[in-house]
Amino acid sequence: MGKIAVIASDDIAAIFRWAGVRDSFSVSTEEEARKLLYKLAKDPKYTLIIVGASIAEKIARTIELITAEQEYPLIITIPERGITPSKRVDPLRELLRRTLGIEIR
Amino acid sequence: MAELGIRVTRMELFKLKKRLEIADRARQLLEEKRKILAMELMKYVDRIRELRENVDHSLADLYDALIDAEMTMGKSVVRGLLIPSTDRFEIEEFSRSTIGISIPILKLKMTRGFMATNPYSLITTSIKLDEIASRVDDVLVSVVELAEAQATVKKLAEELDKVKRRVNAMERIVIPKIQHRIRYIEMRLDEMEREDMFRLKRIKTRLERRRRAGV
Repeated sequence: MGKIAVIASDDIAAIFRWAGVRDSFSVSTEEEARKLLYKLAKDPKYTLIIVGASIAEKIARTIELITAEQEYPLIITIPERGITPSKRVDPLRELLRRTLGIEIR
Repeated sequence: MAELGIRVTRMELFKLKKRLEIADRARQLLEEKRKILAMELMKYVDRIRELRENVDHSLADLYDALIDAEMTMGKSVVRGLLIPSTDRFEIEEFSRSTIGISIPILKLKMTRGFMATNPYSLITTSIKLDEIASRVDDVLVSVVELAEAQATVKKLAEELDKVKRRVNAMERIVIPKIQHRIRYIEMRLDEMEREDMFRLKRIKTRLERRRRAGV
């Protein structure tokens, strides 16, 4: 049984925390987000970490590194109000381009 | 063309031909695996596109519900009501095997109902607030489905990458190397045969010359 964690902007984290994802964190700086993601990724109790698009944009490289190194937790980037995850925050993109030669939206 | 470490014997040639047969069969099998993996992967890529749209839609609904609630009750009131609740979700992890690859399966479990963990007055709050909670459930369901599909695609793509590299190594290194050795041995054996023939002819001529001289 694994837990879910959310790292997002203030309002999104608050909604998830209120709706039942207790480990929802709001971060403001890039450094803070990176440290928190590393800390959560090391903790075996988490199976899924949901990262808001505004944060994911800042720590795209960290997400890629963690995803490449470990199977769990799975890290998913979600759109936030008005911000959709850009192409570079997709760890699958490069892998699929190399193996299948296709671009995934 | 000096080849070190190759024994020029018929036995070695036989062994190499056998090895070439096995290598070619292995290449064919790997090629088949590569095709199956690519087809499977394409299916999941389409599914990911669909699931990403689902997540986007359920999140758009959630943000709409939030804006509606803020407009009806006021932004500060809504924020004031968003008190942290206890954990309601857990994820169960399983795995299944496809073409010898272990693929993750995730199952989202809601351990408690929303109202059990968030007691607030239904009279003083807008129905939009309940809507936000149910939208979060939808978002999590689609996010977990997407996470599962992405993890599957990652595993399949990594395996495909490995198989592709193996097929390439077979086609460009292993098989050509064996073929080259076979060609070398065949050539050397032919040469040895020609030398033997020449030697025999020389011996035959000498013997005939000696015989004639004796007579």
